[in-house]
Amino acid sequence: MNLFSFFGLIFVIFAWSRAFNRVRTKLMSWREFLFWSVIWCTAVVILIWPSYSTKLASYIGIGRGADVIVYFSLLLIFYLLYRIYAYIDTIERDITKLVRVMAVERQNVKSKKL
Amino acid sequence: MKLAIVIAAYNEENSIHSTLSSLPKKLDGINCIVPIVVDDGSTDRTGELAEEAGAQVLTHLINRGQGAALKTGFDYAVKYGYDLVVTFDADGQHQSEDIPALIRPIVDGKVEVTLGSRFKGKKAINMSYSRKIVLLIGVIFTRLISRISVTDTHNGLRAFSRKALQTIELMQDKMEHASEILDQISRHKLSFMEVPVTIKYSDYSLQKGQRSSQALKIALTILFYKMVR
Repeated sequence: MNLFSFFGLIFVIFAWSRAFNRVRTKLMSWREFLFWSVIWCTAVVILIWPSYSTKLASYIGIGRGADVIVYFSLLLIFYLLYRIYAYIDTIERDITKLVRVMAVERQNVKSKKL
Repeated sequence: MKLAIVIAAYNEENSIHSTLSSLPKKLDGINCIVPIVVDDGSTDRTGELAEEAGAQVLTHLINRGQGAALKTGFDYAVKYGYDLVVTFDADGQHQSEDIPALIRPIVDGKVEVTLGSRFKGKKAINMSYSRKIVLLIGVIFTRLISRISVTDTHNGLRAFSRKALQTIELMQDKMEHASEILDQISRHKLSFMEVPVTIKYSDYSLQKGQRSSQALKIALTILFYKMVR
């Protein structure tokens, strides 16, 4: 195992433990935890047996193993960006709904006082 | 019939009073006219001045955008049994003399929505060429994307029947709501007609209103939501 793989494994263990901690404290669902576990397990396999990425690359028709990792990582990053965007959008909508309900309710109270 | 004139206002203390005073007090076929100002988180005296001028004021605790403010006014109007809603700008661009012609087709039961147009005979005073070009591109974009043929896409002077208000579900909080309204009119096949109106650009309204550069953002947002819908 080279130095990169060693530090990579330490990072993966740290990241996975954070995910486990979040699911333990119910801040993350088991489904989300499963998603992250698949990601980190894949990372572990590639860090320990880098040749697997080369095999996968030749299987799906991409030249080098490192390219496969970069392509999949990019796809994952785009997907996660979309998820974050969708999540922020939902929060924005919820804030607007809340502000709206409060505006109408406050007007109700004012009208009743008059 | 009960008419609500919904005005979304954000930091409009300089113009809100004159805008409210200009509104008609009587209209043919209308028993009751209520100006409803949605104070969209203003940090100045907009809400206070609107109340002094006799409007019902709905206050957003934080700024959410013009689309969100109009939707608040729509929800309130539907909840309290208004038959008709006119949307009117707070910055003095719109002329209250256009309201009777705007509501007439709805009062007569001919259509569900009327849309003000500055390109159908009346004037757009002090409008820049760049704004004209952007609006023309907007017309073509709307025709292609929302499949609705109008001459003016971002005119805030409109009128809606109660049925239209209950049908249109505004999702866009910011300026994209104007394109979204057209998209929903087309999607829900609501009957509509355009009514010539005068838009008067002043230094104040140009400073307060939307920039032409926002057009690209609006187009991209509408495209995105049409794709993911």
